[in-house]
Amino acid sequence: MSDSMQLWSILSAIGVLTGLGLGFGALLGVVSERFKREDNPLVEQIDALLPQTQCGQCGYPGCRPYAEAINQGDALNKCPPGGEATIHALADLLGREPEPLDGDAPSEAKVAFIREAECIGCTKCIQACPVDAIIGAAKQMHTVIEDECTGCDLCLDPCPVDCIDMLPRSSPLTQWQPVITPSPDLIASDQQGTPGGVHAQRV
Amino acid sequence: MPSAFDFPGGVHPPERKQRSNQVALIDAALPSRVTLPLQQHSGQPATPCVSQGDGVKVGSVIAKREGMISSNVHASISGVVAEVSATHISIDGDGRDEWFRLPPLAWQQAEPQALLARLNESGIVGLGGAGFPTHIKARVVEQHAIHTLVINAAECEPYITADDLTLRHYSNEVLEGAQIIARLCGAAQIIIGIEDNKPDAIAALKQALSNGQPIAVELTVIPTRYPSGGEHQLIKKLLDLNVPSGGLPADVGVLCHNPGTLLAVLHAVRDGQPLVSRVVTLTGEAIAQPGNRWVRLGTSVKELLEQAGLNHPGLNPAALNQVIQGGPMMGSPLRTLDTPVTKLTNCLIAATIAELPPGPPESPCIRCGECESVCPVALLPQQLHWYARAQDDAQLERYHLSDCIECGACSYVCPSHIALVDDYRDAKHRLRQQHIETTKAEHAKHRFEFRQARIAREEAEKQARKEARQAQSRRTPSSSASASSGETDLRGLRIAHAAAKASVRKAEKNLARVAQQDPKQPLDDLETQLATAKENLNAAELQLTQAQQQSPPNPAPSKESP
Amino acid sequence: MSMMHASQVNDAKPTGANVPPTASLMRWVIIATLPGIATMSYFFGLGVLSNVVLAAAFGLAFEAAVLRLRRRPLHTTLNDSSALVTGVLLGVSLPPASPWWLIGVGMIAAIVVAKQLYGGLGQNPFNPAMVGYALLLVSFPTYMTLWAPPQGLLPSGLWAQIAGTLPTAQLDSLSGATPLDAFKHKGEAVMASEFWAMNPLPDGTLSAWRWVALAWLAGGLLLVFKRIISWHIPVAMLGSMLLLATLFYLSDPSHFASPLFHLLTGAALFGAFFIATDPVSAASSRRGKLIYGAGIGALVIIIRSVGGYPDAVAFAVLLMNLGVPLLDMYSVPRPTGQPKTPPGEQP
Repeated sequence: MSDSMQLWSILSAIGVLTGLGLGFGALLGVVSERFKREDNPLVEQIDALLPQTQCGQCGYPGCRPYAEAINQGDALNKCPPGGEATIHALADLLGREPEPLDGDAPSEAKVAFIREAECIGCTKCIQACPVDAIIGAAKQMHTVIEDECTGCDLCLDPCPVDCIDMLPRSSPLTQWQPVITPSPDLIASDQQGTPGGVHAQRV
Repeated sequence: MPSAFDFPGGVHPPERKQRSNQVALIDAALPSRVTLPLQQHSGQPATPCVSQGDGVKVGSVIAKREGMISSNVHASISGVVAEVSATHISIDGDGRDEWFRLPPLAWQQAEPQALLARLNESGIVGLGGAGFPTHIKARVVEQHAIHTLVINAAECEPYITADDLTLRHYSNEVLEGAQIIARLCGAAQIIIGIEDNKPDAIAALKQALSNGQPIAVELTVIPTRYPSGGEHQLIKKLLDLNVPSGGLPADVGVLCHNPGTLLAVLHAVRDGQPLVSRVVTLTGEAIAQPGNRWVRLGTSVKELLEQAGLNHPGLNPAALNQVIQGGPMMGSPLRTLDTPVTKLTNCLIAATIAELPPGPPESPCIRCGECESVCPVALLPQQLHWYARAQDDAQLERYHLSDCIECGACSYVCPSHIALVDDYRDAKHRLRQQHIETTKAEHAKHRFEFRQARIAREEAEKQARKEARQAQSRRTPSSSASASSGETDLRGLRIAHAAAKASVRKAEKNLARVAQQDPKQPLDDLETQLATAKENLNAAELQLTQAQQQSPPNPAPSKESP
Repeated sequence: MSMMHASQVNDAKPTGANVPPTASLMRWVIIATLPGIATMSYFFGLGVLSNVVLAAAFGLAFEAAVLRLRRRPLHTTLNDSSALVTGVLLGVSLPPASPWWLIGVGMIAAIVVAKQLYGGLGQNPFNPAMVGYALLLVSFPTYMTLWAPPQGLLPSGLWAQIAGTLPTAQLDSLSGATPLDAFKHKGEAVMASEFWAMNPLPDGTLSAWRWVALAWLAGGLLLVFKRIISWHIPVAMLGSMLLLATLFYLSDPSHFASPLFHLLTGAALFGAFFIATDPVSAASSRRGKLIYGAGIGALVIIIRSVGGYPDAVAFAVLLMNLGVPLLDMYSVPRPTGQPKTPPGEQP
């Protein structure tokens, strides 16, 4: 009698646990199907943080390959055009420690400019441009479409006559903004070290 | 009477309108030289169409609109073009004031297209301050049904009385201009929203309304409270409609126009007179003859103020401290008086230091919540303040920074004298800049992907040609060695081909969807994406056909191999 | 539409705004405490006044010292009187003629720790005066629970205050207690009716406390009337106290005190108008303020009725201070024109 009771209790325990396992498993399966995300989030997210200059200074042929490499564990600090801001954004996203930038960040946004009188029409720069921002044909003068140029420098080296300059990117008047300087001698300067002070973290 | 609705918040700054609303509206002296900026409106600057030395009459087009949102600029005096630069055109006057007018249009009979073309040609923009081209605004009917035209005569900012005086002198004309716009937009009713501190203008309007109007006009007097003249606030107050965040009044079927704009519309249509002058309020303690003037666009602010008795000896000790263009709440101080009156200049305040003293230094925010209680958009200004200073963009978005209308009510009541609106403008600018950068990066990314796809396709084509040549020269299939691997290759290529096809379809669908939802949005990037997908498909197709040719349809290639 | 020099425009706003500057807000708070301080001094002796003066002096001194260390300009900050307000509020919370070092320790906790270490005015997450009070209450319970019985204008124990000892004149356990204290420690077996029948407090104690509470109410109403504070927090706090106290009282009148007793003794009215309304550490939106006030009221009654302390305004305020970030996050009002989405779920 007591043996059968014991057996029964063991069996019931196994039954209940199996049932629970199956139930929750099914639930998890349903939920994972139901709330599935279409995109591959991480590489996409990393790629979205990169500046997309496609300059190859990271050692990869473009931003997307570098994003994939970061996802595989490569260092975060190989993107000079992105600068510290990109490193911090990546570190935030991936929960890693930000490292100092490997290389010098450019001081301002630049675009390539072809001194057209000197261009011999060799098309070498056209082939080098990662975003098809240079137009021209063989033996014809080439020129850079300023709006499409990412300032990656990749056209400089191939040019046999060194007729390409990197110039500061012009910005239209509509994007102009005055610099508002905070008046000196404020208590609010307490916040200069940690912008926003305590409240930034509070909420 | 739909006047009982209310927007939240608001303040009651001292009005100081008496200084400029006591005298009648008069013409300012004809300037001997005008400087006309190419951008006196929102959108793209106009492109000059005259060159130095050309003779012009009042109303000659000197710069044409450029792009979608832009506006023509006309000569405001007759004379000779003295200078054409990248930003402005100067004209030396001959003092004869000869006019060039377009033929009058009878608006009751005219086609809407003709009216729109007239507004376009006449360079009419919103004269309330934003300077949005009126012909573009009138074309919203193409996308939205408009039921009400609101005449925004609230003029809630202190000091300014330009609309007040315009209505007193030209109430009939303003109403006729409103009829033109209402007819153009198919509005069924016109509502005038006016603050109760303009009794004379209200009386003039009542007088004018007694004549009867083709489209019903309702006069609604609202209590004075800043910023009831904000477009969204006025619509809420008059019609109890909430303009959606980031939207236009047209989204709720309303169009809002300033009385000055409507008067200019009438002048353009009835008299063929383009926008060459406007009413400007000259006020402040530092001028002796304050009041409203008809001023030719391009007149120097300095000349104008001097004519009004700037730093007049009789005004002791009222020395000029600063000139503010616009109202004291939202306007901006002029750095130099050698600047022209533009289509956007509704008021010039020549203030003494006692009148508008510099604010005390700011002290820390104590979170008193006073700003929250006056915000007309029901934002939390103090939270925005913290986040703007901390550059916490995610939180700024969460607290709806973009809904801020920069009315300055929060700065006005802040007991700690924090220039809150400055923080918001700064943060908005930063966000805008970031947005531009992100779009640029996104664009570059798509271009890069397209290039990759194109190179892959070219590679595949090259390969195909090579294989074809080889096949021709040898006339024997060369796939013997890798028969079974060719089989798996084929399957992989088929999958790749199908995937490429699917991505083309997806890109097409995406493009169609966005194009339908928001026709104004630039579609370049989506088109690039579609082109990329097509290149990928081409490459996959080539590889597939090539592989299929190499491995004959027979599933057992080993048999055929010699 | 150029945006240049918007700061100057804002500077140039027409004068005569309906909100006085920060310093003036603080001064109004101090003015509003005067009726309360006067009434307390009348009933509990000049020790109350000396407390306030000492605490305010300590407050200014510590603030100046810390600002000096932090290399911040002294004049603007000291001028805003916020340290003075903290001193006054802590001063009236302490038993009359508390030892000088007790006040000093409390003010160090309030000004140096709770306020300046967090970044100064506007940055402190906790109410400074209540941090000081709570620290003293848990560290020096003997000194903090000993209220001299009402005895008119006599300078009671001023000498003891300067010497830094307990006022030893009249010491038996009950005579030095506040009504809330006495009620709390009446013992489980004693019914409320029996307790009152015992007449446990010296004559006039209860009415003295009631007069003091009414004086605070008067000062508080002045603040609300002058728009220095908004009505939301006091009303929510007193409302929830009344509601919860009534519920407790109705559930067992023999054990729990009446709602009126709760409102008119202890720091209820003082706390509702002067402590909970500290804008820096309170919730910011209107909805948040209502929840914040109601939370304080509920905590006060719960701690008084079933907790270990006779009065609990300080702890209730500090606990709710902890919740303010959460309240602020979930009580974001919907701006005009925004679609209706549940709070906190905006993108």
